[in-house]
Amino acid sequence: MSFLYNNVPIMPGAYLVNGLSSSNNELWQLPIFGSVRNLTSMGFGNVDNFYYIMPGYKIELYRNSEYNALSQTIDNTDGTKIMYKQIVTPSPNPTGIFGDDCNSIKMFYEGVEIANKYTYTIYGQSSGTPPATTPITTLTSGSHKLLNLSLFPGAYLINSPGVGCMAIFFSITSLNTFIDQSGDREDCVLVMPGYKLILYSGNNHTGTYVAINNTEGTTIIVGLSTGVRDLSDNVITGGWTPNNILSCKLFFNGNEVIQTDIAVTQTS
Amino acid sequence: MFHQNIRVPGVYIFNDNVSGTGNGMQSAPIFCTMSDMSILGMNQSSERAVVFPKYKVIFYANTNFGGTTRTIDNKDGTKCIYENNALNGALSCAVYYGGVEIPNIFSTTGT
Repeated sequence: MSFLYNNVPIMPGAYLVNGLSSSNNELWQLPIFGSVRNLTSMGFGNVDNFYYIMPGYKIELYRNSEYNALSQTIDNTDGTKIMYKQIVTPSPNPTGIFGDDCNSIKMFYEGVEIANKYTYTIYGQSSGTPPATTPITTLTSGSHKLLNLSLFPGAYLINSPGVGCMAIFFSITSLNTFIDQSGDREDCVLVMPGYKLILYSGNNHTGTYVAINNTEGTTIIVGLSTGVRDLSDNVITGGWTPNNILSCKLFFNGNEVIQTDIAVTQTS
Repeated sequence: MFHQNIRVPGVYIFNDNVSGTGNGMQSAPIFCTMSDMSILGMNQSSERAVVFPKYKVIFYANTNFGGTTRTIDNKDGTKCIYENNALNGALSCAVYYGGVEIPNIFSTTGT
């Protein structure tokens, strides 16, 4: 498998899509990097209607968490193109097992399961100045390009239940400006290995913050707020208050990934 | 870069807050030219975009490359382009790498 960092896939093997063609103006997709033991804790439980799967990959869909009650398999192990498949309710006797009924997924690459690549952790919010992380390596504008940082999102903000998953490539001073997102926002996050994400309640990195440090991690952190359920399907206590952030900072190896270092803004 | 490896997209689209409903904070990758983006649930949902160096994308308002267009050309760029003007949705797109179109690589069978 290519595109590994600390032995963790940094490109998805499949995407889960919620609500295909039900209406315009929606983009409800979740990237899947490995086996997911509980989709509800990741904000996308029981909302699947569609998948697309990269060549070399196979996924098994389970009705319950912890890989209980296999419902179907989508196999693109030998594929040469990206396979897409809609999970349809069969007519005339829908049984309820097709679509909107998946709560865990096993993922395989060339027949080998990609297991134990997620760590689920509750994060609270704090005030003051976030603790700094000592840079492991020094990034320059050139090294951003060399490392292809701009090609791989370092984190994802997930809006539950099953509403969206926004890739984060760099620090953002105002989510309202960046994506015109003034209402419901994040309920949990994915932070890739090598990265640290800090969420702020105010614009321009002010206010209370939630710091999720995966700089030296060997799994993908699933950062949980009180907006999702824990792995035992219990209400989360001690997590940050969701839907309350206005800006974020992203760091790779302890260095902030500044937007202007890797992207130019265009208004065409 | 990696356009030959179809697991790495050259374009990401972002969707904003939908009519104040809170149904936002969304993104999705664009791997290739697509005559009908709705087959992947992308229903007129592109409002912002990030386009990687060496890539160009043309968004079309209608399926099968019809209607009004919006072009983001980063063929000669060395950084990503973040397009922050509302794209007002799209239903098809053409994607180029180094000036060469990346054909559709989606299939219901994987082959």
